[in-house]
Amino acid sequence: MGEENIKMELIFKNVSKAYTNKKVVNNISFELKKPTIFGFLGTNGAGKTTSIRMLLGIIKKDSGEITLDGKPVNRKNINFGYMPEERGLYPKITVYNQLMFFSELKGINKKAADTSIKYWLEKLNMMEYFNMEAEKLSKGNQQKIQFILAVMNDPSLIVLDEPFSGLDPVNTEQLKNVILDLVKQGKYIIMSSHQMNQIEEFCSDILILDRGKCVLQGNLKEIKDNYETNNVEIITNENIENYLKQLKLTNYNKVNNNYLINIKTKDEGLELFDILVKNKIELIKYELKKPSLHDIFIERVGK
Amino acid sequence: MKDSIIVAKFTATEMFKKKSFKITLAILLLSVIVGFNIPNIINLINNNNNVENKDTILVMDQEDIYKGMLNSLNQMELGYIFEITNEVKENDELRELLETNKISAAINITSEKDNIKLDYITEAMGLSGNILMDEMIFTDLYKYVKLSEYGLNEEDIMNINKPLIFGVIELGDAQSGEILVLSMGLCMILFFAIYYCAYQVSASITVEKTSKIIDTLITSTTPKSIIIGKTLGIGFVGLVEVLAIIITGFLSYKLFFPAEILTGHIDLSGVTIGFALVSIIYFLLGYTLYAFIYALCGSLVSKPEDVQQSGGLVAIVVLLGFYLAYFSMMNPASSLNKLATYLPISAPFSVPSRYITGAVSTLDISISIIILLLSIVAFAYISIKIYSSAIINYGTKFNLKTMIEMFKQNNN
Repeated sequence: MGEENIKMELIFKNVSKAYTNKKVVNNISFELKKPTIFGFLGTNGAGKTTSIRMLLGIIKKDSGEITLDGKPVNRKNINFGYMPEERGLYPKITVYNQLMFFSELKGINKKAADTSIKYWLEKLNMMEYFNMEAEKLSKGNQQKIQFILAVMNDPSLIVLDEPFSGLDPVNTEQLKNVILDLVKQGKYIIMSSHQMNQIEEFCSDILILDRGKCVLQGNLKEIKDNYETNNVEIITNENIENYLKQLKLTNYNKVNNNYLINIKTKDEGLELFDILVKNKIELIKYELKKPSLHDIFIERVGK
Repeated sequence: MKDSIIVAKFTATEMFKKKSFKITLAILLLSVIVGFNIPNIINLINNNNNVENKDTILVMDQEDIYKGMLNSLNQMELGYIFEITNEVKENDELRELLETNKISAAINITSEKDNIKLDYITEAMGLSGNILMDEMIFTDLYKYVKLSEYGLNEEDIMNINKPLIFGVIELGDAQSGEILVLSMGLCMILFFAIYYCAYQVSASITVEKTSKIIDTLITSTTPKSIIIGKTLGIGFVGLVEVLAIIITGFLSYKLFFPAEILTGHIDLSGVTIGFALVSIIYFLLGYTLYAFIYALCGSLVSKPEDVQQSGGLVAIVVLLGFYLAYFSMMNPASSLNKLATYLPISAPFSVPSRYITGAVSTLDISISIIILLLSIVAFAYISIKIYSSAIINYGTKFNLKTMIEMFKQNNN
């Protein structure tokens, strides 16, 4: 399915939207120029869903440009798939019938739709639920059907809003592999999530929204490189609190003899390492750590 | 249009598959068949009663006021057995006779000064207050007894008692009561059919919004296609239901209904192909108008239990339209009939009902259809514009101001 690599350039430039004089999206810009997973982050009510709805042509923007290969985006010239945050299926209708209905709306002919539906149900181990009413499926399986709805028309742009919420670890892993496959097939994916570890795992570029405004944007690795080392993680069999006291490192978390110590500079961490080695403390793990995306997110929008 | 047809087909198919639809339709059709068989059922019960269980009425005439003429009651074939006696029974004895069903009622005839008094004695009158006998029979019989005393023979007495012939000649367009009964019945049927079907659109849209499927639906097709598709799909199901009821009604009427019962009550001469066409056209137009309004109502609520509240105002408008059509019909000479014909909210109920009485001209029908079509386009336009925003807004408290804002947003 969808093996060919489709080249496209999606530009979201200075886009704004207001409701009753309140700006919910304020001058947001980003670009997607190659197949990738783009992380779209923000707190609840930050403007993510409104931005996605503008991108997909569900609601009109007040200003700015949204273009695909230089042409304004509308429903007709972009083949997209959307997995909304608010999951929903027709409760009394069978899995196959509702997938077929949406396939028809997306312009897929019956035969191709049938092939695609069976391919995806097989791929996500859902064939046994083929003729089951949606309300009888577990929450996780309903979510997988929702994912199939987003990808069964082989779209070039896929927007996934919280794709892993509510999934168990096995299904999360399965879905992760499918998403990574889609990128390999040349799909452009915009992913919104509150689970920062997943964004770190998947996304090369991110944008963080706070109350409608962009507070941080760029390549995730570059963003993290620009941050100083701020923690050191130590796992040992001994109590090292005396040495921490000696270096005036008072801000730390300790679980058994696992320590996460907050440091101001990288040198503080190295000085601690020297003292521990000199005193022949057996170190199982020593790692100087840069702030995680979670830390960065809290720092940017948690005020 | 292709997407609208896909939505319509999906909506109609899923509605036909629903158990609730099948059960409701089966109950409706069964009710129609039973309804047309009510005279037969009543006849069957009456025949059984006539053969075995005729009501017995005890008539007590202690003073022989009727001079032995009461026995003639049994020759009149009034459907009762009259047991005549000159003895007066005590209340306890009468109660026992009533409780053991030996008699169904008793009549005690006495005189008070110059008046004759008849006391009807029964176990309990109940709310219906039914009295088995027509008191006029006793009055006529008493007159007969008195006139005989004055020496008149039977022929003279019959001539005196002959009823007058009272006729009404209408010089305007007004139609006979027989046609008006049918016309009013039709008005009510159209009201229920249109209201029921249009309300389904609101319910269906609310289900999509509250089950959150709308986010997926709205990205798969346009709001315009969804509303038009739903209206077409549910309208088709409604039309099938109405036709099924009409056909079942027609067949039941032909097969089971004793036509003579209608004589003098309902005039079916106006039921023609033209009438059927006008009824179907107005059902579809009326349904479409109200369906678009109800679609908007459905999109405004975030919880299924709020549908009633949201549709409350529309229900008042539908009722106003119905009552305007219904009550103006009662007075065919009233100028309100013109208003009911042209006003889009009442035309679907008024025009077919007036058509059957011949009280509406082709020009009136044409103007009314044009006004209805223009109203449908206007309401569809407004509904689609507001629906586009309202359907994806959860938790927003909608009022006229927010709706105007949404309309403006989607109008730019």
